[in-house]
Amino acid sequence: MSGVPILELADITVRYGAVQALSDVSLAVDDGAFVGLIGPNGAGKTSLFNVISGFTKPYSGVTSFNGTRIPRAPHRRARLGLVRTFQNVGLNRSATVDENLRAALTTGRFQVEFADLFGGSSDLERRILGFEETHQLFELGKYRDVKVSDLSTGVAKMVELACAVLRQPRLLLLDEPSSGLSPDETDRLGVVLRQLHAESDMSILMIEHDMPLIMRSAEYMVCLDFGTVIARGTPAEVRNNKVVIDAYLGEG
Amino acid sequence: MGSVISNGLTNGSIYAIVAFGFVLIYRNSGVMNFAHPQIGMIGAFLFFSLWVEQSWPYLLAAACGVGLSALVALASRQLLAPQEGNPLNMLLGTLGIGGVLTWYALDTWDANPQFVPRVAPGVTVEFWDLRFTGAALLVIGALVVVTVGAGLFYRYAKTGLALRSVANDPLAATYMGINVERMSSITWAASGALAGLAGVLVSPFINMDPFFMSLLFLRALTAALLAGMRSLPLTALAGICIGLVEAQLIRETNTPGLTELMLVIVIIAALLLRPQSLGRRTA
Amino acid sequence: MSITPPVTEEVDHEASVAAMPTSWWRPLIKPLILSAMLLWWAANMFGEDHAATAVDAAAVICTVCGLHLLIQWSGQVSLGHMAIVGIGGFATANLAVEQELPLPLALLLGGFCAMLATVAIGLPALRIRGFALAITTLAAATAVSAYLFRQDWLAGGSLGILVSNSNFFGFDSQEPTSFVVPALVVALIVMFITMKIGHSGVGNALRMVANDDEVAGSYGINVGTHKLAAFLFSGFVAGIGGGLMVLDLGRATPEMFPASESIVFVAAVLMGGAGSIRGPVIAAIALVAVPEFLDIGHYEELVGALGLLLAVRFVPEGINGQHEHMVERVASVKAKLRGASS
Repeated sequence: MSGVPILELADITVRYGAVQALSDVSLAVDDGAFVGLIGPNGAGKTSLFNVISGFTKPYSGVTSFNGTRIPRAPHRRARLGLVRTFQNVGLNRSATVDENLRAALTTGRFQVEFADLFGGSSDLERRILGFEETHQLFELGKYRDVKVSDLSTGVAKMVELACAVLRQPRLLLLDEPSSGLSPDETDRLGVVLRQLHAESDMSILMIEHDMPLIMRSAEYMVCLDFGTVIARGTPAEVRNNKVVIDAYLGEG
Repeated sequence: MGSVISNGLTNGSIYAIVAFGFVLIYRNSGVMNFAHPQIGMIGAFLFFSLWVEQSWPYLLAAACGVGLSALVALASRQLLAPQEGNPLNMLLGTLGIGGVLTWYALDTWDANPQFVPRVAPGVTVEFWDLRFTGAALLVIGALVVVTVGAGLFYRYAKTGLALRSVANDPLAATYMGINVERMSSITWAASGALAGLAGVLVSPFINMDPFFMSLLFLRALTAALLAGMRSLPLTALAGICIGLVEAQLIRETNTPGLTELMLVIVIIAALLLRPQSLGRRTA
Repeated sequence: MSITPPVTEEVDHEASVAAMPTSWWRPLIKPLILSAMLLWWAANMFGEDHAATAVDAAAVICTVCGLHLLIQWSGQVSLGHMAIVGIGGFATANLAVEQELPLPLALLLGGFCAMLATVAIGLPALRIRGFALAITTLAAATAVSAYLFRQDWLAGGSLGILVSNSNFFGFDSQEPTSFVVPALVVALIVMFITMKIGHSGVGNALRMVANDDEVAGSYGINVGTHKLAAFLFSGFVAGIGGGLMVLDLGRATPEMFPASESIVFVAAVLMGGAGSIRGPVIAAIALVAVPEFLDIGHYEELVGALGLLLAVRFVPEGINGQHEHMVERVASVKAKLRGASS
């Protein structure tokens, strides 16, 4: 893990009409780090993800990836290695797991998409099998031909994570990966995430509400409330931060 | 100049009345009823059949025509009700209904245009530079009556207020004891009646074949979209504007279909610049 | 739908990869034989009426394949495709008469012209979504048919364009019993290409776009180019369909392409349901062939509208959906039998 940030956000402000969702948010994710993003509901965490992944244009502020400014279009950011997951599972629900895996591998490039018309699909198949070998925890094998809408949430989230990893992320943005999971599934998710992080040089920025999960996985934490950063530090520091506690108690 | 204004006002009033009915349903249930023109057409044809072919008295024949349109609209709603949560399917369903109505008219009356005589021949009113026939006055008068009537109805009548609350928030309306189902039926029936009224009123001005309302519909649709599919007075204004612009265009050039081209450009521009004019209205 | 995910038997994927045919033409053998049989039968056994119906069906199938890809696989609804069919038809007629191109070339280029024209709706479609797009296409088709098809330079005056040349690769294009073979060949080629696209990464990516724009973008898919490509393809094959109609009738007139007839294509796609083109092709054949056997006046108006209405109201999942249900039911019966016998 080097000290160079893979992602740098400087003074990001996002406005939806009269509502200011984010105000002057600055944030850096070091290359290879595992950073947690927490905050009460409505704090602006998903808005921040939307800015990073390119769906939302910030009213002001600069986003740099790997030290350079990145093109705005979401699909370009994805191809550069900025991969995200979604709260309500970013998969094609009416397609099978296999089809989603293939989509992850072809990354929307026409040449690759057309390649399998002339025998290129065995290459995709090999890569999927290779992935299954290395990441047996995902247990994808038995779900390959199942429609995503027929999967339980736990399995679907694993599939989504697999699709994310297949896109060879430099920075993986996880949006509440544990929502909808049972405690057992959440534990397994934690194991998988930590293993993924340890084995590769990918950086992870994770939004979470499940405190035990994020405390055990993240090395560094940022807390948002009402669109601004209210605390940063190690998990232990942030957990005991009075401002953070107040923010969570104040919601609801 | 005079004829442009009088023609434009007359045509524009028709477009406005047609657009009213269309907007009513959209405001109430988020549905775009593409059977609207043909619902009006079938009422107009019944009117024609009774008045011209069977010599019934004018008002009775007209009332029957309007009534038929209202009934057909009601029946359409009943038929498509299970798909109400899916506006696209509803739109397709109404397209289907429109096609069936067209077929029926073609089968019963064939495609040749029918001629409908003026209701008050020889009556002309002139002031300033403008000249209005009796039939034209009837049209414009109808628009005024409908607009004012609708305004009063929505503001003061109990059912009108109920309709407004349903359009605003159907769930809350239910909690207040309003029978949303019935309101919906009333809306569709009223919309159908307006379509029928437009068809009856415009019949002396055009060649009445089973497709005559579809031509009007494009103009009405544009008016409705320009007015944001919300406000009835704005829709009336938009309808009149389109009528006037069209009258001017027709006077200047002879190119066929130019109006349609202009309308589509306006529609695309309106949708590109104001995409929220078609925001989801139902919960 | 099952609550617990059905566990497919452990497929030996390693072995299946190893066993994959290295030649890409092997899976083509069966469809080719079937197609050849169909063509031979059409050429020799079809009477005049059946041949005419088959030619009509071929034209509709071409358009429906493209529209299916557009609506079901890319999530963009066009209710005015008849306008594009017409542009292709008029283009073919112009090329055949004015430029005196050989008919097959005129047909192909007519398709390209229609494809280019589709850009005019494909670009706004990137900003106008779903519902609003449907209305726009309907309105645009009305305008095209009212304005464009009455322009002299395209439609050649009130009588339209008469195509006297009828030599299509040696077949007589204006004689149904002769033209049925090349028309069916064209339709089969279009079906085949559409199917291949559907099975390929392109089809997969399109379906991701249809499912959710944002998610598709996060997979690196350029939503705009994919959506536009879908429109372009649908325009090309619709143009081919229009060209076939024109060659068959030997003329191109505005009355042949009324915007209201677009619902026949939409009906076929809807009746076919989401999934493979098998559904909409069957529906298209039904929509064209059924009126032949029923003696209803003005059936063109009725059949498409009725099909649409029935599909929307009673069978929203279409033929493909019903087929899937049947397959599921058969599979569960089989499983029960296996369980009972163990």
